[in-house]
Amino acid sequence: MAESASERRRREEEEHFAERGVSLWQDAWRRLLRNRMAVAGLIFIGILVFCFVTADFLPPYSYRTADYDNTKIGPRWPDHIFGTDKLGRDVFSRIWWGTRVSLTVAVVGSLTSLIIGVTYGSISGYVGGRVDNIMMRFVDVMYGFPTLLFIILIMVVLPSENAIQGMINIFIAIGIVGWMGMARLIRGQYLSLREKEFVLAAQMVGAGPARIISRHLLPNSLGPAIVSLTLGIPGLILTEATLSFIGLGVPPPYPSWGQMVSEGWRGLRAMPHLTIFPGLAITLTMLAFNFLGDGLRDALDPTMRGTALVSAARRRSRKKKRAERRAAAKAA
Amino acid sequence: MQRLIVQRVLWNIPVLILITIVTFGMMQIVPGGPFSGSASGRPVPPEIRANMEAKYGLDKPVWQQYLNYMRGLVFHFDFGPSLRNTDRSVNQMLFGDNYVVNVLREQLRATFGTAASSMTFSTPPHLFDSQALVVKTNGEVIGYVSIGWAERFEAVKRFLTLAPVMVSAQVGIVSIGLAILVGIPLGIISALKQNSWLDYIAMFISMLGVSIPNFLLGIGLILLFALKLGWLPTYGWGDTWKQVIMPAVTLGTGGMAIIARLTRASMLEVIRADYIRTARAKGLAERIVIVRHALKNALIPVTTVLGPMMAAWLTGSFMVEWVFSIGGIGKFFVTGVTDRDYMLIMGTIILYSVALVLFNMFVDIAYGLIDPRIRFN
Repeated sequence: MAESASERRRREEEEHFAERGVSLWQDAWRRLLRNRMAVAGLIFIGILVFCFVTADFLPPYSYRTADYDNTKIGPRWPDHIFGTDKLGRDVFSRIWWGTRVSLTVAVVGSLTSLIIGVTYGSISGYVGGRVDNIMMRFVDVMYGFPTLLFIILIMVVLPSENAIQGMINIFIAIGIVGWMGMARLIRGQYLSLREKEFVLAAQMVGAGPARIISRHLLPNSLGPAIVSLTLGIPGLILTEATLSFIGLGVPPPYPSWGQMVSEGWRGLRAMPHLTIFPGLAITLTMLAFNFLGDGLRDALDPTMRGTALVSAARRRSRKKKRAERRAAAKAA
Repeated sequence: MQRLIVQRVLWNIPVLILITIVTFGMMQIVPGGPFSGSASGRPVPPEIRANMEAKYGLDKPVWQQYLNYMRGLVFHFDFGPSLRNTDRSVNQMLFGDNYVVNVLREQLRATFGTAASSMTFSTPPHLFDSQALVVKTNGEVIGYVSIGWAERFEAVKRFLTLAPVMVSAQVGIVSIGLAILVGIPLGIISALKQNSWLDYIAMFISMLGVSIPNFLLGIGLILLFALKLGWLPTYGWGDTWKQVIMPAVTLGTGGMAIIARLTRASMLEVIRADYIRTARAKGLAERIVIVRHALKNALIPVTTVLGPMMAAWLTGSFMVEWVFSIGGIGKFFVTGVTDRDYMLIMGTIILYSVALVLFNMFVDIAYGLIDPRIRFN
């Protein structure tokens, strides 16, 4: 069937715009992929997720198999590549299993702080006025508590029936501390968005508060919220490691990296591998999330662009331009 | 400006009161109490527990307990007895011994020799008493010792060097100093040389600094400089300058990294502003443009993080004090809760929140001084 001229023009136009049209999120994604460090972080996190999923069946040993014939041996190829601890448990397998703790705290903690923070910040920012003032003063007061102490208090308050639930409680407690930052951010976003014309227009056509928040204010605050959430994850992982390090976190025999460091560092001189490998795992994971968070911020918030490390691609193009200029000068 | 300061000071009072109330309330929710298990782990008989609770007034209604506590704190600066360390008060645990007594006791020992061990004071002398009555433990009066400026000076000196709260503050001050002195120049340099190798190295170091948990950094430093190289002692504080280095680096690195990243980010933003171009255009030296025009504005975000950071660091870091066996007050933040030592929890929280409120206030006032827009608003 032959198409008429107008139809063809229309199709071409559509194709043209479909090609050119890049949504905010696609644009951000492209910018993120140009950031080499962020991609490295993303790949590392991918590996962690893989470890998380396969922790039950892929590692050479279980996290709790004790081998009393091979205790406290250093890294040895090929059976114990990271060595064994004082019970003869394989450090490599335990680190592998430990990704479960770190990634769960990242997810559960983020969700907790997101839910509480967004709810609180939405009410405060949307209602405004005196309510906002009181709610924000309360946040000020909550900032007055030392984090560690606050977490321990919440942990003790939450009921736990078994070890797994106890662990989840720890993660929730860690997340609860983070809600204040999220609440402030969301509220700040709402305060500026509330004055925008599109919100006024929505009110004009009769949209209620729930619709304005869920369809207009929240989606427009999502970018900064995601950035703040990603940049908050290293803090969550750090807090879990710290709690486990001082013996208040994940209960043995479940391995957490912080707990492994805490068990290992007393014998630092004789068996440094018990400290170094879990320590590396913590540091690399924190680095990965930090780089990803930085990259996301640059990708989602164009005003902050150029404040973090520029991508290698941009650096190369700049170098090339400089070389061209030099060549041109020489030729002249 | 004055109005701003007065407002800020007054606003702190309700905040502090609210913090004490919330803490007190939270301790009621926490299951278990200080007397629910003895130190040996055996369960305490209910009659004994009831007696213990009566002794410390824990059997009274909560609001009465709270008012009693606040009365002691406000009028006598008394943080109450420690519920778990029964021979010590929270004041002693946080602020150390009565150093006036220590000094005078040493004088008695110098004059009376071993007989001094059976002597005490009728009332514990304070810093500004002019004399103290010495009595034997059986009540027999020996005489007065006078308290002069030399004794007072010695007592203050001991407080400043030995008291747990001061030990923590010393660690904090050195670390903060390190963080500022390294972090700000690092941030400025990498902003001015944006995308140079210097910038990359500086930013990679500060990314590492943000990413390494401080206990790991401490352990790593011990492994390298104490165990492998043998240059620095593994633990302690206040004996030699060598003991200062590792705790300060351990605590300071995280803050240094944050300060460096913040300084760089805000410096990059400021340096592109029109008034910097104006300053350059009117022919000012680059050094003056950077230091007097750019830096002053770039430091505003940095001052913001300094308030909470100082409060947290000066009241002791549990991690650093634990890893390096330093006798500060950081450990009480954790042991207070795990032991359910209500008085100790209150003491540490109050200390921390007073520090936080004070430093935040200084930051706000500093804003006013740096930035006229805030001052006149």
